[in-house]
Amino acid sequence: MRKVIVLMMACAFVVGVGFGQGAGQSTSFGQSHVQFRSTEWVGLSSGEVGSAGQVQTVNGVAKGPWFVGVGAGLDYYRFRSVPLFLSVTRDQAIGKRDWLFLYVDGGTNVPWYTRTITPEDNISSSTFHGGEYWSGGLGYLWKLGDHTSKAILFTAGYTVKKLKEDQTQMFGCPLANPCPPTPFQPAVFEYLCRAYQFMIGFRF
Amino acid sequence: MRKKVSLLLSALVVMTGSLLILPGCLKDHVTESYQIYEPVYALKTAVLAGINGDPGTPVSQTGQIYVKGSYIYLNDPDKGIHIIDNSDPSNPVQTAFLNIPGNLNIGIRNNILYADMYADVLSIDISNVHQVKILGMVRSFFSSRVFGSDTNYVVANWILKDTNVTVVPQGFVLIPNTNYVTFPSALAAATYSLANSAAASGSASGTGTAGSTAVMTLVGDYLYAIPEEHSLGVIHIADSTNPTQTSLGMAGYDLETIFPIQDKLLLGSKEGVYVYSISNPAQPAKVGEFTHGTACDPVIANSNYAYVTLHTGTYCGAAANELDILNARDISNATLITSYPMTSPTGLCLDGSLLFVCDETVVKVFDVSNPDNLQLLSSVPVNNPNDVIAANHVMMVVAGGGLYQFDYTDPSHIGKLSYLPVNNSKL
Repeated sequence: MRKVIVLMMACAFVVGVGFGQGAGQSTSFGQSHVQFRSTEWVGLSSGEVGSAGQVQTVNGVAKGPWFVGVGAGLDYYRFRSVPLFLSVTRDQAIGKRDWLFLYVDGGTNVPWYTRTITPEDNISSSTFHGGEYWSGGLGYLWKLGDHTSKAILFTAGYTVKKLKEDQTQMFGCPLANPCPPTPFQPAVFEYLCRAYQFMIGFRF
Repeated sequence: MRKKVSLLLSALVVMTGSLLILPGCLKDHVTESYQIYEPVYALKTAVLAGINGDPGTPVSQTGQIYVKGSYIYLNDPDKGIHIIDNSDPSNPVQTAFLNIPGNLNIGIRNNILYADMYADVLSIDISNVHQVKILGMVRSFFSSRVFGSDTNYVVANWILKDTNVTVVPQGFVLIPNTNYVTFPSALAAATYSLANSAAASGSASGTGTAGSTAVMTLVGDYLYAIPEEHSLGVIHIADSTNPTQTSLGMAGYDLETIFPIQDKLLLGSKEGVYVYSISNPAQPAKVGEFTHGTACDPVIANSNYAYVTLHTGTYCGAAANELDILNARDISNATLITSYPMTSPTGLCLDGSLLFVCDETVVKVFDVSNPDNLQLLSSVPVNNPNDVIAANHVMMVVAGGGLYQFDYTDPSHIGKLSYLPVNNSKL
């Protein structure tokens, strides 16, 4: 599983860089022809259980103010996972090299997390399963030149990821009560993780 | 350019501030769904009246094993006792089932079977296994299994209930219909307690052979047992219609098994082996002790040697997985002769110079003629073997998957005779 995830992310990144180098020579935002774009992001997800890092690569095509791409990343909030998603962005110029944009990402979230089980946990097994991934927010883009597509981006948004965990729990006999027929008890945890998302990106 | 940098710096300051301030506004949402067993209580009188169960009742789980004559008595933990006609070990036949809720232990003297029903000990006439009779009862003997305040009730069944709780925030759960939180295990215990409160307001002669993991044994007119993990209790059973508890006292720490040898009792504990004299059978007296590292350990012995298996695990400690052989000529001053490494040994038994040891995925058969140099004769594949009784060339193995029987006429070439599987679909 780990190898597959790493391979997918590496492919997304390499393809993105490759296309980006070939297509980003003399482009501007808001152009009417279809153009490839690749953006690499680093950031933080910050929610109830604290802040955690995340990285993403989003690669796709832009036409006019619209961008549609696919993304993959690593999200360390609460449980390490790999979001795989479709990204839609709408740009709006506010200056010669300044742009605002809205983005919405939606897809699936693949867990890459193994619970460390200690005897005190009373758990005999734990398996994580994937779920939905959503994020959205507002961004600011600053182009590095008048005739380049290279730009630095900042976003502030909100992200939601869902994960499911199947556990087999072990229960001793409750004090002063009879033991149930089996000490093993299956349990299903559904996690809805909500966090603010702040990211810095580089587009080329 | 400077204006841009200022703008970006401002944005960074705002984002950093947001990271510090905003997360408190967000809450993750975690739900836990599980099934919980809820006890169904019944009046003891009704339970005792219905103790003759359906002989076709499948074995849902294997527990203690007891052999007397041509019958095997197999405990189905907390459900009862399967009586199996083993006249032909290659074709054992389930002939009766004694529906005794809370049963874990078995002992037979003459045609009287002694069995626990949670905390109580019943004496049952099994002259006719299809129509047994309850003769007497010692109430609340197994003190660790006294449940609830009304001892007229016992748990006769369990029902599964789906449960769904909200976990807030990490590891805690919401108490239903409140804004208070607690640990999931505390909530489960509370559910049991509530159910508990609600229900309470509402042919041959002599003894047989028990497995090495037994916590109850019969010697002469007395029944000896470990009623809770630190005590040794004695019941006088000369009059089976009126069994009477004669003594109960602190006997050691973390007691697990009991094995009679001549006029002694060997009590296996997590810390070692306690030796009690039953020269005065009504009042056992401690005469020796052998200690080892913390591990679970059944113990058996003959007149010369005692054999102890140690296994580690969550509840057992982590001392060792091994077979210890003790010099037992003076059992009161037993000394370690040697140890042999094992994988995860549990029950064991002796037949002459043959030693049988359950060890995780096999039953090992040793020639113990020379304790300093055990000879492994066979490793019989059995998954999760728990206890073994061997006699008359038939080895009976209680394992997680059922009851296995093997022919060890030639200990180097052991052949399977039969297998009675568990069917735990009706838990």
